[in-house]
Amino acid sequence: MGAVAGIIIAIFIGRLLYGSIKVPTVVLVCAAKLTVLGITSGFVQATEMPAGEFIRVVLLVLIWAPTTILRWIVVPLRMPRLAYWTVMICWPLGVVKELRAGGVIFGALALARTGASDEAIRWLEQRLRGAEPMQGAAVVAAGLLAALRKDDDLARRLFAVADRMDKRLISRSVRAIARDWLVVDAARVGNWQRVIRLGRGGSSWLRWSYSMARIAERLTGDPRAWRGWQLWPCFLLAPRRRATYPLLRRALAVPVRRSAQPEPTPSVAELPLALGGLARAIDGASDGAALARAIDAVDRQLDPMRDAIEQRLNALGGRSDAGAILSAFRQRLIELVAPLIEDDPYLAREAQRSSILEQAIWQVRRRLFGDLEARCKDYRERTQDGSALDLVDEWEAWAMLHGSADQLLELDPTVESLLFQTVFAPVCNFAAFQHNGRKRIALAHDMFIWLLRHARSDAQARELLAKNVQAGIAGI
Amino acid sequence: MTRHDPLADWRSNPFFVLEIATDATPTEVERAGQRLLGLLAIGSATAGTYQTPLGPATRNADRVRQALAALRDPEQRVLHELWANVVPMGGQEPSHADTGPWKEAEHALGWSGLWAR
Repeated sequence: MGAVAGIIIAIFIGRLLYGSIKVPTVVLVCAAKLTVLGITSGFVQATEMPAGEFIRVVLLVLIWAPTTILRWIVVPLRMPRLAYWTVMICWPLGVVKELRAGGVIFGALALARTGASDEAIRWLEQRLRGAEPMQGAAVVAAGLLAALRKDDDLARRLFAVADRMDKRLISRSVRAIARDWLVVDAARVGNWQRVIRLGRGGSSWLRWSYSMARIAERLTGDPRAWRGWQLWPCFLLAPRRRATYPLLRRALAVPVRRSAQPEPTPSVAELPLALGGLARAIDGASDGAALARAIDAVDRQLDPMRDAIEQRLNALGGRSDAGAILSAFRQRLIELVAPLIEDDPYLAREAQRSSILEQAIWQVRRRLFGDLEARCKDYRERTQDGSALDLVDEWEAWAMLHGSADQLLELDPTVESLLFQTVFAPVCNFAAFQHNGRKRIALAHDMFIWLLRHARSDAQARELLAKNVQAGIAGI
Repeated sequence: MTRHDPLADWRSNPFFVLEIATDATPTEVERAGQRLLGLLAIGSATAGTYQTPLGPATRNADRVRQALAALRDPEQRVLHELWANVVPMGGQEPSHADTGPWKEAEHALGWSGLWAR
């Protein structure tokens, strides 16, 4: 009987190694952990080691709950190297497909608790460079390292890639790290609309971001905002209750409104008042409608001032006319607003557009298209030359392209077809090169999925991309 | 997110930098500029910062020279006059609910000093 079981197990292992049977990595790791636990327990029992029970409990915890040990002990104690090695030795299930990247994630989380030294960041970067394979955990690890280097823009784009990534490439707990960073990034500057979008949308429902979105709705007076009795359970079910409690109290102080009450258009009679309103709208930064109203109020004050400007120019001995001054003023206004729109394109989407806002949007759109074209040119050239960067750098380059394209779509969803036509050939060919030539399946898969999502109008492209996505799924 | 300060350029308006009124005469403008250059040259602590209707800002000798040059040009001066006449940001009605940024957000993740200020 034992011999038959042994033969069956040997056949199973043989087919597993040959690749004809596919078992999820998590199942294999659980089996390996059970075996290790069984062997060590048996060894402890057989040798009647002193403190054997204690050793067994420690092993049990280390093997089955390493994430808890990491999150509650190693990371708060600010020990990045110990965190890294704990992951490498104990194999937490959430990062088991990418152990090295998982180790870097927990190392970076430990570093984030204290002032990160350049040496420690470099040490983690070196660990990540050698990691293989690189999927969602590697993208989040790269994002955390970028955040530690204070490269917030790159961190934001990498976390955005991780947040929207196919669930085959990223575990829920790793996605939560990316999403939580994005939520904090938006909340710390009061961009509650972005917090709401992060909590509402996305490919995965996560407790803290969901709770934060509900709190943000209440803070912004959103007509869909929950009442106190609905908000409390949501808050209690989410993690980080102690840290979030002051914000919940702030939200509960805002009365619930069941219909959107548009702010009255400011009836400012003078430019200084209108400019004061504009400064407040810019400082508030997350209300597109208020910003549009403030811009409009300033714009409306300009033409009636033409005579006064003319007189002032004459008094100072100026040679140009009031028209030139007003034109320069409007240009400055556009330059003031354009960076805000680039930071948060939804500002422009939610607003009724005046000519100033339209010109600012046009300026941002032109810059973003220019950026995309330059990145596509780089992809085209590198596909032709067959040259690829280090995988971390490739994920970063993809995150930058992905980020610019998303910004463009947030700014103006109607450009989706034009955007797709611009990026389809270079990105698809580059992804095919990464998949076939470099065996970077996860990176290529993320590119194909993103392209497929935006290939609405092109049936032929959709068919090709769907095939490529299936090839990626088979290879993951 | 760490975006650039959107009001930074506005705070660098020459009238704010020189701390003079928009109807100041050319002589008053030059006098204010030279006084500030003198104070900055001797390392005066107070000369390095100034208040604007949009909040505090910092200046150096280069910025003072740029402000002086801008106000010597009539067209630029008129343009800067328009931008400098602004009702202070604190002049709005106090809001009962605090819906502004969540300054302690970073600590929710247990992190410190991660975002660039």
